[in-house]
Amino acid sequence: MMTMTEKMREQVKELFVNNEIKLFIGFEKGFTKFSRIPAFAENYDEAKKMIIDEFETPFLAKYLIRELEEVAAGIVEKSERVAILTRGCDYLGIRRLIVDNIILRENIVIVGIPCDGLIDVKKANKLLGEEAREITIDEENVIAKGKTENKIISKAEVVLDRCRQCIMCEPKESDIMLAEKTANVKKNKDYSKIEEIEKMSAKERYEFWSRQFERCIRCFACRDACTACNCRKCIFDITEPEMLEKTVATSEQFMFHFIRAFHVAGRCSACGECERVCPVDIPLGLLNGKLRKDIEFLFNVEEAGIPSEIEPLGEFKLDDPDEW
Amino acid sequence: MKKIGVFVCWCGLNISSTVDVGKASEELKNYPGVFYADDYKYLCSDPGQELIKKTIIDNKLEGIVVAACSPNMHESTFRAAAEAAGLNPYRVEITNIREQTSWVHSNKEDATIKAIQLIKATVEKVKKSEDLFPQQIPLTKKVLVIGGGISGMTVALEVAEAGYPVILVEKEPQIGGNMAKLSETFPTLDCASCILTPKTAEVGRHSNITLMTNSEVVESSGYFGNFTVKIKRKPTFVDWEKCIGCMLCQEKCPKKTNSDFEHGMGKRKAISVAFPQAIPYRPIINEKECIYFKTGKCKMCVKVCPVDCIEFEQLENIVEENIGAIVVASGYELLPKEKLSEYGQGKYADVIDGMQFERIASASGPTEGVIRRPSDGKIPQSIVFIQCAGSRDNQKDRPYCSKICCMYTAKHAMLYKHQVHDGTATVFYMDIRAGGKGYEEFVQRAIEDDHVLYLRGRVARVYEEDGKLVVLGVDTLSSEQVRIEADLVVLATAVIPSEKAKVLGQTLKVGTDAYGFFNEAHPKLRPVESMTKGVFLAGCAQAPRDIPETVSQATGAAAKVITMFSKNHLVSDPQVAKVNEKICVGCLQCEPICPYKAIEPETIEVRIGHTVEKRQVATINKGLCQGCGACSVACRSGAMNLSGFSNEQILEELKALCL
Ligand SMILES: Cc1cc2nc3c(=O)[nH]c(=O)nc-3n(C[C@H](O)[C@H](O)[C@H](O)COP(=O)(O)OP(=O)(O)OC[C@H]3O[C@@H](n4cnc5c(N)ncnc54)[C@H](O)[C@@H]3O)c2cc1C
Ligand code: SF4
Ligand code: SF4
Repeated sequence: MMTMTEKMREQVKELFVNNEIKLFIGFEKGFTKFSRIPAFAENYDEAKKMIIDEFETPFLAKYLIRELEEVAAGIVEKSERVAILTRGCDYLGIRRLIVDNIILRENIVIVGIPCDGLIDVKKANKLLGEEAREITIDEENVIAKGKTENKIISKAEVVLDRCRQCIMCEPKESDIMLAEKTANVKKNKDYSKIEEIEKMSAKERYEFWSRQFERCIRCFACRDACTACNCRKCIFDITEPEMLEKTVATSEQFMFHFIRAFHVAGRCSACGECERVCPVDIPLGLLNGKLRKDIEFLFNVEEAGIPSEIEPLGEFKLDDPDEW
Repeated sequence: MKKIGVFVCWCGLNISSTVDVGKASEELKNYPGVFYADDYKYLCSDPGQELIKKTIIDNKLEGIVVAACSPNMHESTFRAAAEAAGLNPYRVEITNIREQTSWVHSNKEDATIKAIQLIKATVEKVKKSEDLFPQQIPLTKKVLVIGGGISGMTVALEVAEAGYPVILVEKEPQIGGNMAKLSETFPTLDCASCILTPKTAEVGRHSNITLMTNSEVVESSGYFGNFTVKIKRKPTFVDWEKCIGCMLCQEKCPKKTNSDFEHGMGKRKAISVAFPQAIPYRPIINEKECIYFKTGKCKMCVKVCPVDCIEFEQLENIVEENIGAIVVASGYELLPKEKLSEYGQGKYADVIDGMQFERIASASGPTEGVIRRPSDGKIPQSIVFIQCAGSRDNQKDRPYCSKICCMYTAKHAMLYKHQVHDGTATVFYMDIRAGGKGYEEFVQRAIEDDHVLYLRGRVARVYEEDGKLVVLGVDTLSSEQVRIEADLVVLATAVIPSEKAKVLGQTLKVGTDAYGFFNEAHPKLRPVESMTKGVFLAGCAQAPRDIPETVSQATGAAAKVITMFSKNHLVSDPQVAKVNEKICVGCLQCEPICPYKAIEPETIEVRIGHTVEKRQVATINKGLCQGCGACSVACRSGAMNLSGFSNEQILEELKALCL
């Protein structure tokens, strides 16, 4: 049977030969053994380095913004389209960009990959007790080999936190699908950590978040990684009016994180990329999750993470409760 | 730094007794940007306004803050004064130190601190103010009146008389509304038809009025001065143009059905006109009852019609009209019987509501004005009237007073006693609300001259015993239980808005209250305007009321329309949303949030280096925008801004307050 990587290469070749795309976005090996980084190919040869496996990868959807023309330019020639490797979570990000009129669906080729959760090497290392030198992955297990130890770990234990709560294991719709797959790792929505924080007193909560936000170095990685953060000019970059003072103070970090969370409220697709990219491990997923949880409860939405044309927070209805 | 003037008003003692106005103006003198500050006893007075004007001119002020009462009261006064002194009126801001400060605090020291803080914040806002200029918008001088009851007709006639074209849309086949069903009217007991028919006839023939009965408004777009509406004209199955109104069809039609006009008290034919004085006097086929529609056979009407105007295949059609103003006069209905089971309404034929009583008391009604009970046509010897049936009742979700029932119940009891001198009329009431010219006297006449028995108390139950209706209640004055046998029970059921009011409100984007009555812009000062500019209210659509009040309000609404039409164009408020195209990403998240549908996408071309790029951005229709600000909150880019309440201004205010 062909591996997904082989199948991808075959498809990429066809796309370029038939003049159907100008660019293919996927992954290649990074600088360390298990790291994967974005790769861009303008022809088949460039695509040969690309691979698909189950190690943690960065989000690709956001690159579509810079690679595609404005929606006002309309549908482009077939040969000007961009193809992109798409897992379920990427798909939600792409939907976000489409719903927000940033890109047109017609201008992209979605190359879908089913996904069971991505492997967090840090977790594997921790369980192994040392840095793994070799990691092999099968249907259910991960085998990590270190210098001295060997360990078989169940996949569920080492997938990324965000993957455990995944709401879409494969793109809902695609142009090309590289494999068929059913989910092996059990996923369910888990708001228990959020509920714990909800139970805290206001003071405890303030202290909790102060501890988190104090660490923030305002690198804006969370914003840059987020597909919902697709403004032409982010308000944090605008000087007039100045929404954020340049001084580094906990109060300003609070401002930054609140504004960020509220700007994606009702639009966050629960991909968890912000949390993944944060260099100081601020649990941003808790903030976004709290907003999703509230929206689901208040507006009777089943899954707030799935982008829809009209957002629960973005609509005017005459029968909206008007309690003042 | 702008040169800003600050004026602190005493409002006599209203403000000065709780806020140290002198201290406030002293402190503001030293605030950065403030060039002049003073306090004055009554700034809204003539000398007060003169002071403002003179100060602006003498000091060449570039913005002013008036710390006084709510901007709802005098913002326009002070803005006009500034304009007269050559300052753009939108550079005037009000700090509310009365309703939001002196009236809600008692500690003078704290209140003064708060007042000073608030004034400083407003100064910061004014520093960021810009000149704003109203726009002229064209105007279609044609009004749409929805509802052909006495209120709608009054509006139509007044506006038509003033020389402007009117479209009167009525959902029923004929005009007249509920008043056409009334027998005689309180407090004068003149016959309702006699005073109504001259009006309906005039509406029917007025050259400025286009009458569209059997029609409903289904869509509305545009903005004040320039609405476009779609009106659905339901089929009548008769070509009304050709029809000569001979009513041979009605005479010969073999199918009798219940008449909704008679509220179940009488019958009508499957092809018929509701009542003899109906305008337009043209028949309509009841599709659900007509034998031809059911079986494909009969066609009696086709046979007898001398001008061949029956059209079974007629379809509904939609007409589009451009208009400048809308008056909602969709009237009322009565609470449905199912809601009043404890009174046996709907169960016993002889428990009826007020409107049904009107029909059996009406000379043109099914009994030709002889009050007979529906079950067996007997003339009742004892009638019990129950007031507040459903009204003032939280359990029925109608906590409000229906206002007209006290009066019409007295009328009903009188009408009955005038016919059946030895009969007994008993009225159960909670209290009598007879506020109106000649109203109290009218009720007294019922009690004293016509010997109607008024019992204060509520009825617990109406039930049947040995073929007689029994009314069980408490007389709360004597605290005794009362049991009265009655031949007929008449309920003064709660007045509720027209069934379609809520949908109509949504179509027109006009708010309704919890019960479905249309909301006025201000309960005291703007009672005939809705919150949506260019849409006015008349009659029971807004709240329950009697005919004199309905007519006064309708005349007021007409005056509003005429005032609007007396100008050649309208001036729009410049405090509307605007888009910063440089940062707008064109996501259009703002579009669905705008209650007035004022936002649309637009493609713009921008130069970037040597290339020209096409981009999608949001644009505002300044005529439609009402400046509510919803979009500016929804726009995460900060591209959407409300002139006069810009993000910059609000942020500066907050900084002044919080830092
Ligand atoms: C039993 C009873 C007795 C009364 N007796 C008296 C009395 O003696 N004296 C007195 O002063 N008052 C009396 N009144 C009050 C009086 O009936 C009202 O004040 C008056 O009829 C209100 O007129 P209106 O035009 O506001 O409403 P309505 O008469 O209800 O007229 C509204 C019209 O709008 C139409 N309509 C509704 N919705 C739509 C729509 N979506 N599109 C198009 N058309 C629509 C309706 O079909 C109707 O024709 C009595 C009321 C009752 C219930
Ligand atoms: S104004 Fe704001 S919300 Fe509206 S389209 Fe532009 S960026 Fe989006
Ligand atoms: S302020 Fe914005 S949301 Fe409100 S009416 Fe104007 S455009 Fe619509």
